Amino acid sequence: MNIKKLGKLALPYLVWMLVLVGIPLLMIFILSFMNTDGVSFAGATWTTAAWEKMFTLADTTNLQILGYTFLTAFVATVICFLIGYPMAYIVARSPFSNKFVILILTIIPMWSNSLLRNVALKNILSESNILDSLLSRIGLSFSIVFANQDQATFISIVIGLVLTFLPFMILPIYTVIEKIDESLLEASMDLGANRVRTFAKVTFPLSMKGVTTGIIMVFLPCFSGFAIQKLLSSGTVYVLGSLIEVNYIHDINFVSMLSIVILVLIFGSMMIVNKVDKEGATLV
Amino acid sequence: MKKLYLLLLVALIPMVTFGCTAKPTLQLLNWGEYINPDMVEAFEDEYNVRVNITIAESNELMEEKIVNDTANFDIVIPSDYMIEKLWDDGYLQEIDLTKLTQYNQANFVTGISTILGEMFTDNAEVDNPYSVSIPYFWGVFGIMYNKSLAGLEEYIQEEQWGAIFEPDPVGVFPRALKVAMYDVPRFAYSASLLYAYQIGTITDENALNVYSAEYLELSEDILSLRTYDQWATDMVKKDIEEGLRDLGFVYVGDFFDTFLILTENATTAEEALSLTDHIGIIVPDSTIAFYDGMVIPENAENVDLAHQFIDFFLRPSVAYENSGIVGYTPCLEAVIQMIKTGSEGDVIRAAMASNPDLPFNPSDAPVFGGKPLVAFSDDITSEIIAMTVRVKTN
Repeated sequence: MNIKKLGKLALPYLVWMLVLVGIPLLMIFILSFMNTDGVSFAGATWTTAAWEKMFTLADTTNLQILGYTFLTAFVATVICFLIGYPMAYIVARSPFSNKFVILILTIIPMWSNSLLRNVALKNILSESNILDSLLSRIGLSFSIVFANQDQATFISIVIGLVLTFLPFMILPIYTVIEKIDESLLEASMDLGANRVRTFAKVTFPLSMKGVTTGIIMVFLPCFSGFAIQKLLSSGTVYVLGSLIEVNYIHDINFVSMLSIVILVLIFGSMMIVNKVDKEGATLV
Repeated sequence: MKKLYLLLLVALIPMVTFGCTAKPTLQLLNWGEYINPDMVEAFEDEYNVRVNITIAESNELMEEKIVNDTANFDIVIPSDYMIEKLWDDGYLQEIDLTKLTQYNQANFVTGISTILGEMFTDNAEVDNPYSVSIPYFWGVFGIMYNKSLAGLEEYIQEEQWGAIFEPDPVGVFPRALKVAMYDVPRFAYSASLLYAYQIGTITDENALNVYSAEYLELSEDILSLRTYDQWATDMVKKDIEEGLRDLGFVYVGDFFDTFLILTENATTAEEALSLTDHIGIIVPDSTIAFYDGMVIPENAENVDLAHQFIDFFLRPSVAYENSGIVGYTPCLEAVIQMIKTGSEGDVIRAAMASNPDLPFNPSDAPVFGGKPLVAFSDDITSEIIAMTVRVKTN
């Protein structure tokens, strides 16, 4: 009964959510099926033109952009996981008394402004870079050679995304691993499991919540952002975010449709990840 | 409780005194860093008024603020095509030229008369474009390049727009050229059609302001002739200066901006020229020109004050000080002469403006072929955007 009473306290919050999140979302959804002049509904007509512009086989440009955005975000998320999980695990299981300090030390470089960091990265990946000009003073040279511009762009974008969002993978995983009860691991070892088996059957399943959070927190901005991609590709490729940026003044309906596509894909990936997480939980 | 009242009172005092002064406030809608704050202060002191500046980052955002009536602006400084659009849609009022003591059409540089001559050609109601807007700054588009690659200057002079659009020349340079494109779809579209006119593919010299399915396809083909290393706006000038790109399509103002940044600490003309001898700028015979003009919106509340503001910024001494901050080409011949001769003691800007190789006043060229862009509808603009998206993606 108490909970019911307390529940009423959430009412203002619900109204707030409805006004500031629910209604705008509904507006975006409706706008994506209309042809309007900006956000004014005067003289608006119903049409699926915006959706056809995206999902047509006659001109697959926008679908290619969708694919490219997904691919860069997916690869960056996987790499973040492959680097982030061991890092979080090692720090959480290290014998130091103040582990959080160690963790902070590992992610301090990532506290500098991400824009500056990516400008620096862009410089290092370019032909005449700052390392090269420093090393040339002692007769050495440094330059990363890519096979072609497309490859250079893809790799640069992925590196940029990983460097920017890695902390968002490490922190939630660290928090979860840190909280795993030592006695569970001891029990597993007592029952004859070796370290690898203990990790696979106990630690990893128990840390799935952190992994889920980490994946969502990395994949989401990688998929919807555009600034890093634009900077590191020198504006030569489009991702969904930059498609929204370039179109939003002139075609609000197309932009609304793109926003819905991003939302659906993000909700979709969250649901898949959640499903995996539940199975992980049953393993314990 | 007493304390609370006191607190309220203290909070109210500034509001009340603020209300009492009742200075009229001129509402100015402008681009960022596009006016000298000292000159705004001088205007405030002279007329005993306040000037409130609102910033907009694009012509479209200015339009949105005027159309949606969020505030009543007294002065707005949009570009040519937007001025025409706002006038045609009835959002601007006529400027009373008799109220401007400094105004004389003959005082503007010839480039400005050429550009304004192209305005309102399809609107017979406007017999004098100066009564719609008073030019503020102007400029043209050109090709900025880094001189470290031998022969590049001659190549651009020879090929003009071809240097930007043609496939990489074989056997001319020891390596592939690194070319940057201005990342505004409308500019890329219009410049590609100027190139098509230059090489004779089309015969319409006004093609840059024409939209058709055929031209869109032509523009897409031209933009696909080479792969651009960069599509950007403000980064282009920086990257060319640093040698990361060989050449790029930029505002001529971008070059002069770079020039002034490089010569910030220079004290003599020779020093300024040697600090900037690695970059150059060439303006093709026919190019896109623009001007930004001061206009008075229909719903302005301080119309007289707005006229006084325009008149103030038409004073050569004020316009001179203003151009020291902005870097684009001033519209008044007298101001350009002040800069060129260094009569106010600025040797660096004198070295820049009087250099015959640098188009500080593009209308000094033997033939001035600058044309302003006209406004396209949102639907057409979306088609052009989609075209550049295809060019970059495929």
